Amino acid sequence: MTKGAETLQGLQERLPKVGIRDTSRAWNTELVTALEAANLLDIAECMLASGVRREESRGAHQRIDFPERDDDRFLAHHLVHRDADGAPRVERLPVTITRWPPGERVYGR
Amino acid sequence: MSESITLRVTRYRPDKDREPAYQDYDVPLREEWTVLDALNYLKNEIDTTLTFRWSCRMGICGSCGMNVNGDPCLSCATFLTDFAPGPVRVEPLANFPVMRDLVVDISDFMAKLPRMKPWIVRDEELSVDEGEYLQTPEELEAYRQFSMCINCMLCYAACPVYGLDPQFVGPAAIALAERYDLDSRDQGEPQRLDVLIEHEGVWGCTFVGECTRACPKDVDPAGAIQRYKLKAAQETAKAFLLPRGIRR
Repeated sequence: MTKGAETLQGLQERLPKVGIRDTSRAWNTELVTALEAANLLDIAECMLASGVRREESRGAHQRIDFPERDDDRFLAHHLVHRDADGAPRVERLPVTITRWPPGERVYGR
Repeated sequence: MSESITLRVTRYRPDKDREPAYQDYDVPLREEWTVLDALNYLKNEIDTTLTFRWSCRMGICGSCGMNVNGDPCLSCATFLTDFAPGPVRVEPLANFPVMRDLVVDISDFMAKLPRMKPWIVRDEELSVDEGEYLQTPEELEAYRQFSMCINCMLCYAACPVYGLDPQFVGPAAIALAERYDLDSRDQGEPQRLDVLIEHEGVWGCTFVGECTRACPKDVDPAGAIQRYKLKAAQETAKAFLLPRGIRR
């Protein structure tokens, strides 16, 4: 994940140099793709910042260094904000449990 | 030196071009490539300004309909090698206004669709507490094939009647009306018939059958329209013969 963060940093630095050849105002999919690329990099940054802090495995978030789910420490939403210096800041929000209490997800057992 | 094939692609930018024109591109002729693969190669490697719709690449989303060598088809389900040695003409779907390059405006269909009430219509809705509307496998089978429509618009591009008379409701919308009429849970047939019995409803169709030939999901819109004509004719006969109170 550290390596991924470095790669992502490199991509973020390259992003402002992206050029667009399509100058039409109608159905400009090249422009849309460029705008989406910027958003995708921001989302990737959020996922990495949050994933590094989540020292457990849960659902689609699987870590070989922390294979178990840890409700004591991580039964929480992560909210990612961007600080003034551009760095992601991760906050916790407690989960409101409603009808279905969370349980371990098991397949074929 | 690997083989290549020429794509002759319609280009049109409404804010820059007076009218559509062809532009030729040479792309690799690869056995496993569909026309959509070739277009994506073209956009990524040769000309980023080409615009076309696509999404799933597997014949489910219905976004990538185009006229390839004059025939409406899903470009994701049409192999490039079928057109070797080329050139291959790639054009927007016929019978629709072109918004840009290969993208057409389907608002006409979108406006017609809700007139068919393509949802389950009940005289009286069951409450949530009363549970689901149950259906046997046989009842499902009765309409299943008509439910396969992915709204790809190939049948509209293939339909010569729609090309001449844009008022015609058109194949997919009528097939969808039939899909709900045949659904055992539905009671909306009289309401749909009121719309389709009009001149621009099923009677517009002259049974050319091109819609069924073009359909990538074997929905058979032409068959649906013929069934509907029978229903409409029966209804008209009843209207002559029976007093209003006991019709239907």
